[in-house]
Amino acid sequence: MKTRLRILRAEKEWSQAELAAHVGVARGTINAIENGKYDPSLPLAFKIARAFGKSVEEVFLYQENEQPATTNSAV
Amino acid sequence: MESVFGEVNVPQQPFQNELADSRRITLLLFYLAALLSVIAISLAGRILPFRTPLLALSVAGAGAAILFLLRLLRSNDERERQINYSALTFAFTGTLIFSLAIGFLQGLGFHPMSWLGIPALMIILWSIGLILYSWRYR
Repeated sequence: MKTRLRILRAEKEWSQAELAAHVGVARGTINAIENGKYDPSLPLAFKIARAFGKSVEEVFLYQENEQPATTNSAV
Repeated sequence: MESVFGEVNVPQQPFQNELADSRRITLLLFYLAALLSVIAISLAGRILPFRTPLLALSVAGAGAAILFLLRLLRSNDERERQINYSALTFAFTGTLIFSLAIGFLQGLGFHPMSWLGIPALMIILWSIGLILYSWRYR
C-alpha cells in the first residue's frame, strides 16, 4: 500500500514520534507504515488520516495487484 | 519512497519516547522475574533446608513474570501485538518440535532432561521470535 505519510508529515513539520503520539502507536509503527512494511488496520488508517485532516484515500493508496505488506489480522 | 505521491526527505528521529522506555523496562522486569524463578526452583532441589521458601520464591517469580508479560502485551500497539503473536507462535511451535524430538531421543536412550528446560526454551524462542519479527517490520 502506498502512502503519503512522509509528505504530510513534512508539511506539518511533525516527526514520526509526534505523529505516533497523536494516533497512539509506537514510532516504529509509523516508520513501518511509511516504508511499506506494515499495512495499518482500518481504525488506525482513519486515525492517521484524521490527524492530518484528510480522508483515508488522500493518505493511503491501495493498488489491486500489489503484494500486500504484513497486515494486522487482529482487527 | 518513489510513488505517485512523490518523494520528500524527512529526518527520522532516533527511537526515544517514554512509552518505548516503559516497554523496555517491563520487558527487562519480565526477564529478571523469569530468571529469579528458574534460579529459585533449581536451588530448591539442592538446598533442602530452604526448599519451601525457595519454591515459594519461584512461584512468586513466575507469577511476577506473567504479570509483566501481560502488562507488556497490553501496552503494545497493533503492529507490536502482531509481532508478539508471531513470536509466541514461533516459540510454541519450536518448543513442541524440540520436546517431541527430545522425547523420541530419550526413547532411544538419550540422557533425560529437566522439565525446567521447557519454560526456559519457550522464553528463549519467544525472544528470538521478537527479534526476527521486529526486524521483518523495520
